[in-house]
Amino acid sequence: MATSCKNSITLRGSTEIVTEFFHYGLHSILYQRGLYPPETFAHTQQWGLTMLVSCDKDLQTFLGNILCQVKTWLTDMTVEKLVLVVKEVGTNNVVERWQFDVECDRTVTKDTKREVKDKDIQDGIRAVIRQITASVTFLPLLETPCCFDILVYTDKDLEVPEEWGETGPHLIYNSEEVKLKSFCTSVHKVNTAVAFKKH
Amino acid sequence: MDSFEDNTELVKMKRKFAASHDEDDTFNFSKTRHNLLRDFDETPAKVRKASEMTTKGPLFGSKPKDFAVARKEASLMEAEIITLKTSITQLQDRLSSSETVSRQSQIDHEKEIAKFRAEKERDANKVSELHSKLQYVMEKERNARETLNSLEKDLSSQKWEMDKKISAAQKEKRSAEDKAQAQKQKWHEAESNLHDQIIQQKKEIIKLQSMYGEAQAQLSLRERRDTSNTVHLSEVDDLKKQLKAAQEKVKALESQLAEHADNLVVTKALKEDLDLVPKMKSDLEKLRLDNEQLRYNEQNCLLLEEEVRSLKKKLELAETENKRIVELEVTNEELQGRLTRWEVSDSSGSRRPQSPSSLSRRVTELETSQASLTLKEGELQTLANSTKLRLEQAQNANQKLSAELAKERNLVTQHSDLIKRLKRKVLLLSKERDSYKSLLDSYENEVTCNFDVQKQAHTQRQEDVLQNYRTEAAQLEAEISRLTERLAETQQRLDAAQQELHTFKSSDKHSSSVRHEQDIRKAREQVAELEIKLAKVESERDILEARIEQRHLQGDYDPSKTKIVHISMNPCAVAQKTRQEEWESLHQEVEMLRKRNKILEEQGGEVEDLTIQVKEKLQHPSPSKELEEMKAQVKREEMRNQRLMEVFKKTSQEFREICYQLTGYKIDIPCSNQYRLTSMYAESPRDHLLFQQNAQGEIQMLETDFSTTLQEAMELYLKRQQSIPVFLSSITMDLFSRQTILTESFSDNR
Repeated sequence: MATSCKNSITLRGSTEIVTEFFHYGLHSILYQRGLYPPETFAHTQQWGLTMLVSCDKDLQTFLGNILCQVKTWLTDMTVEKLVLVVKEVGTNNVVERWQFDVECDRTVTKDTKREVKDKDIQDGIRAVIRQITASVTFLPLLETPCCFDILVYTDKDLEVPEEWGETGPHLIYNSEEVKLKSFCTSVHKVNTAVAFKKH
Repeated sequence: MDSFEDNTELVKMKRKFAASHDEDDTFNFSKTRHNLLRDFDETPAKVRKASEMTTKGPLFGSKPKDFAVARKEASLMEAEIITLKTSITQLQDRLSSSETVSRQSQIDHEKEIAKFRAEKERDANKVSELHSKLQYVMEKERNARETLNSLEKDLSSQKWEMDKKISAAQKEKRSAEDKAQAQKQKWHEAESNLHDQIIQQKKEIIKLQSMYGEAQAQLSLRERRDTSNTVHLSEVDDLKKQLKAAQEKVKALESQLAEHADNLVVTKALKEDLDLVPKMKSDLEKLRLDNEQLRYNEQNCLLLEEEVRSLKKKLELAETENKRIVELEVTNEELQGRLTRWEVSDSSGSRRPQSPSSLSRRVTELETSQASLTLKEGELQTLANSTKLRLEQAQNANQKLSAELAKERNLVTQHSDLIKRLKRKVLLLSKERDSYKSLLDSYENEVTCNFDVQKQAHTQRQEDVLQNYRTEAAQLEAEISRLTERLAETQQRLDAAQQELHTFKSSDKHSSSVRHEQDIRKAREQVAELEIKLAKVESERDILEARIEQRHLQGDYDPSKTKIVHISMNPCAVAQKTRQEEWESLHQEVEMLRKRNKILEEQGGEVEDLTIQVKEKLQHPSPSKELEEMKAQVKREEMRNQRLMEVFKKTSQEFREICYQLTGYKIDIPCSNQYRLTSMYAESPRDHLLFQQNAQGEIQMLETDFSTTLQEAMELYLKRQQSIPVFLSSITMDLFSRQTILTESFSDNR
């Protein structure tokens, strides 16, 4: 929490908050959707909520790599979307798509400071996380073994590191979409939505 | 070390012995030998003594007998010496080996010493550590003792306190025991009291029981009464209920009675009415008859009225005819008068027409003149129309001109404003210039230095600027004058146009207003249409926006601006890869097991080197497999063939169909090289022609039942003209015409 308890926020602080949100959001989606066994998750307290974070080492390194890269891209304001795609392992069909749209305020530079209440941001994040938790009630059950992938929508001209490769949007044929709440740090705005296969 | 020294001594001794032996052969060897042998391991002093003794030994050498013995002994000695020498060399070897051993031992010793030293140091360190530990432990012990002491003190104090407390508690206990004793006594007393009371109460209870028995007897009596009372009460209630029901009945009956009375009154009234009915019936019949009569009358009346109307019309016509007749009579009289006058005047011999024939001629003349006049009128009308058109054009021009005029006026006003502003500016500038000049003058008056040049330059510049302004003003004025001229011209043109307009306005006004109205209506319609379109477009836009939103939610993106990246080794890819590998391995295993099973089945369960055989089999697929593959290929080929046949059939069917449609003949092939043609218009399905193609490719016609009826056509087209198509078409034409005749006749009949 780079800018906690202060009423002004910088680009770095905002990036930090958004990355943190992604970290916990992705972990809780993986937990809620049962992509990894629930006993591999550990409880932690964050934003006044009990969050679940995976203890799987491979998963941790994978998410860590992604979030580290996303953080630099967030500071460069080249991230448009971060998408968690849930696929069936057997058929490679996309069954679920968690989309985080990132809107950047491009007028912000490294030195600008924005007046914003830390509490407001945290309230927003809490609401989104709660909705993610609650979305299990309406999402269809994942009956077949599934795995996930994380896509990042970036600028076309951006140079990406070697381990990153280009891919398709992984759209769902015949999908239903639900828009979740959003939160804003006054530098970045994150809209959350989930699309899932209609039955 | 001692042995070492002994050895050196021994060597010395030997040398001496050798020398003495050379000098003197009379040597008592027995003794020396004895000495040598005896002294071999003795101290050097003794050895020296022995050698001295040998040197002093000529006491025995005096006898010549002894020489031989001595020689023998000498030879023995020599042998012994040799043996001794060998032993010496052995000893020397042993010495050297012992030296090396000693050295090794020395080195070992040194090593051991070093080890011991190190151990000693370690021990010393350990000792120091232990010392420090000991000290620490001692300190701890001391501390512990101190704490123990303090604790003991505390304990003793606490013990003392506790003793005190215990004594206090014992005192209390004693007092409490006393109290308890007293209480016990009290209780005893109370118990005895209570015993007494209980006895009294028992007595009372007995009394009360007797009273209770009496009371119960009374109660039973009462109860009996009560039951009778309750019976009575229930009877009363029943009676009350009956009463109520009776009362209600009475009320209902009363109301019925009232209704009956009313009904009686009504029935009386109705009876009176009923008495009137037969009368009314007769009246009604009468009235009906009247009505019919009236209706009949009415119809008659209508007929009569119509007649009257027609008669009136006739009358009117007759009257008008009468009037005309009267008029005609009048005119006739007039004409007769004129005629008579003409006839009278004719006598005078003038040029006037003397008869109606001449009049008619005159009339024809007049008619021709009128026709010419009407022609002229038409021309004039066209002229008028053209002028109207021109007027419209002129009006349009006028409107344009007026618009231009307005523009020009605006321009003029702008220009005049500009001029005014410029004039004002000029005035200001001139004033400024004057002021500058005055300033300059004053400066010149005050100072006569080199300011002049600058000032003059300044004024010069100002004057130049002024000149520029003036020229500009002049130009603008010229322009204004030009514009005013143009304005005047346009005004004139406008006036002319307006006059023209006025002349045509009266005629034009109505049409223009109608046109305006039409235009307005059209415009309104257009507006309405456009509004509808707008609404439609807006709704479409909304839909599209919603769709875009949805697409956005679905994760659509603009590939020209953005790209999607992911880490290539994501969990999904890993999972799929592992799955693939797993699948492959399982597949292999399944294959292996299958082979194994097969081998087992083939060999009846008794197989040696099963796994090796399985591997071999896997490497060399069995012929049955190849066979299967071949079969599959054959099947595929067959399928393909079938498909091709289907396609061919379909196209041939289409081809035949289109041939039938175009030529009117259905061509079948009953057997090879024979073609059966059936016309579209054939009267029966058996009417067909047969053709055959021979080996040279020529086509010949075969005889059929149908062809026998076509001898004429065959003669004409086949034999003479030698053309099958013409023959066929002639048949078609013939059949078609027959059919159409039939249908025509059929339709005529209908």
